[in-house]
Amino acid sequence: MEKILEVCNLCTSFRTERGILKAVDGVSFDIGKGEILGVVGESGCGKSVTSQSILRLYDERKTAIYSGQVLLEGKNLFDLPLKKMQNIRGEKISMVFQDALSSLNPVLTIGDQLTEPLHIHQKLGKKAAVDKALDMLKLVGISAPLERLRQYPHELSGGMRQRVMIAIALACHPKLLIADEPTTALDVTIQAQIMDLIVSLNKQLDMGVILITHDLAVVAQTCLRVVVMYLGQIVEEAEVHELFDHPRHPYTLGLIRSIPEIDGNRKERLYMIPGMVPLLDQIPSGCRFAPRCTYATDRCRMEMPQLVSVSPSQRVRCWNVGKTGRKK
Amino acid sequence: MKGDVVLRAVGVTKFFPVKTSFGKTPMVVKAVDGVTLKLIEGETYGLVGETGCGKSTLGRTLIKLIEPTDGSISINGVDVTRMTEKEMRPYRKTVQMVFQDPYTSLNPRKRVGDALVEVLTIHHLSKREDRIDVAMKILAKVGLRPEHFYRYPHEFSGGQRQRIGLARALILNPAIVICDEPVSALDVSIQSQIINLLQDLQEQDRLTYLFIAHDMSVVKYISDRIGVMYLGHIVEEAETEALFKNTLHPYTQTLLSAVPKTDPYSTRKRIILQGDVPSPLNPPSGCVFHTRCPYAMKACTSLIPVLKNMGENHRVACLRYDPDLSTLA
Repeated sequence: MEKILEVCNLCTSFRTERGILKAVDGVSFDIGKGEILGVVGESGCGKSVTSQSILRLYDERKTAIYSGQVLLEGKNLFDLPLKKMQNIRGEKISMVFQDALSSLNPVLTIGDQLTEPLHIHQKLGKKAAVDKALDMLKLVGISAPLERLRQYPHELSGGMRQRVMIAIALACHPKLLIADEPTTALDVTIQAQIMDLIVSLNKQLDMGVILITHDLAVVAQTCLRVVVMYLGQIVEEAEVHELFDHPRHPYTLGLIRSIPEIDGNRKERLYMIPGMVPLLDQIPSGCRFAPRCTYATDRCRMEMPQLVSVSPSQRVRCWNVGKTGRKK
Repeated sequence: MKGDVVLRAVGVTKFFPVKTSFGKTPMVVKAVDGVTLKLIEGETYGLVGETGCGKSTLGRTLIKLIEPTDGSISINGVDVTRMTEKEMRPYRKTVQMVFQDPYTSLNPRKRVGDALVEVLTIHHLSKREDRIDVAMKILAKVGLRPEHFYRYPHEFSGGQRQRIGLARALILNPAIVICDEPVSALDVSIQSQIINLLQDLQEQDRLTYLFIAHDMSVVKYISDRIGVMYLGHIVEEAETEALFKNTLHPYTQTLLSAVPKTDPYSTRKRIILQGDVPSPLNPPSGCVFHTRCPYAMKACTSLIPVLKNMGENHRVACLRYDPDLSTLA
């Protein structure tokens, strides 16, 4: 498969009152053309920071320090001058955020916001941009598109706003869409609509999608490959079937077992991962998951394991690979 | 059925008036529209539905944080609907609430211990010098350590705050706890900790829960009986196993099929609902679900379905199950 984006050893740190904190620590993955890659993890694991670092959305003159490489079709985005990033954002890579209401501009109409990227990137005239905007609204399945162009974000429902966000993101036919928790704020019925839309657009337009979510079920239903993150690092990467059949990392295993299954047994007690995610300035030495891991040994507490391949498509960061898996 | 009815609500209705310009007919939001339900001692009643279906309003109305517009509520057989705040106070001890957002439901300027002791002071419970001990005990019960007594809410994580919220509710030894989305703001690994804690406490103290949530799989896991709400109405109610095995109402069916499964091999066809929930300001005529229902018939636009018992306490409000009307289609 042709790769469109390669992330190599990405580190993002922030200058804070408590010193420099590394939110993303050596993350590497790639994504092929037309592929949907899932990135899962709990709050604070660095999945959003990873995605926003790809677009260099944090202010590197003040707070953020990036290192590593983000290669878009072979070109390193970190080598570009900041101004040139404008040509990438929205045109080559675009993003859909979790909270559509606070991500849309409340004082501009949907039409204004939808035609803006078309004016900037594709240099379309007014008439052409409006026509294109109408097409986009139809593409994402919004009823009465002509009326919507004149409406403001607060006049739309949550699901509708998320559709508008997707329409804006797709307006310039990007090669890659980063969807950061696109359905977390939505009800299940609306979530099903939006995920369906993202999958069908991915097929229709042959664009890559990075789907960031904390919901393993959403990943199971949509992605081909999954990256699991914990405390700024990738702990496991695998194809979706491998991941659910043979989760190798104790954290992945714990996550999968923590979820009450809709057709599971009610009498069984829910599995718990003990403890909680440590703060970024209290990162444990050795394996970062060791304090919460039931398989942890002395070696785990001392030495940091590396991400190693256990099969052609599965990589795991754990000293105890092979001793922890489970079969369904 | 195992125990006695501890809380009974009959035809509970809550309309919120909406300001309109002068001369127009005043409008109301029909948040809860004639809900009848009962909670049985020791059970967990799950209340599910999408955002805006009125499940939180119902929860708050049941403990009279919001005055009901109509209907009656009785706790342990005593009608509390028209009681004043003062008369109500003894019953507040019986029914307690845990809120969704553990960040905003704790006073940021109060130490956790003080917040717990305050509850005892207000209700004149235990001797003054014993109150700290009682609060320490309750902290231990919800899995917190004694030193947490002297900390402020901002020093805790989301899961710990939810434990504090639970401690504050349980310190009064209530019989009923209304949990309004207690785990939806938490990560899965923390969510399972809180759910297990809720179940342990229920076993120890024979608590009755009204568990409000929008996550079907969590509700299924924890509940004995489930009520499904849509636009202020309960459209289906049954024991958990029955509801999942024999789903009757089209809305429940779509709600269940929309839940993604953690199984990448699952090939089941999902029913994807069109459109959004209509505005409760102007709900559809007849059956409120007919605008999105895949089986809607002509009669659905004009006739309001009532909850019908289909046997084994499985109640459903849908004209398709009405023997006289289903032939009209």
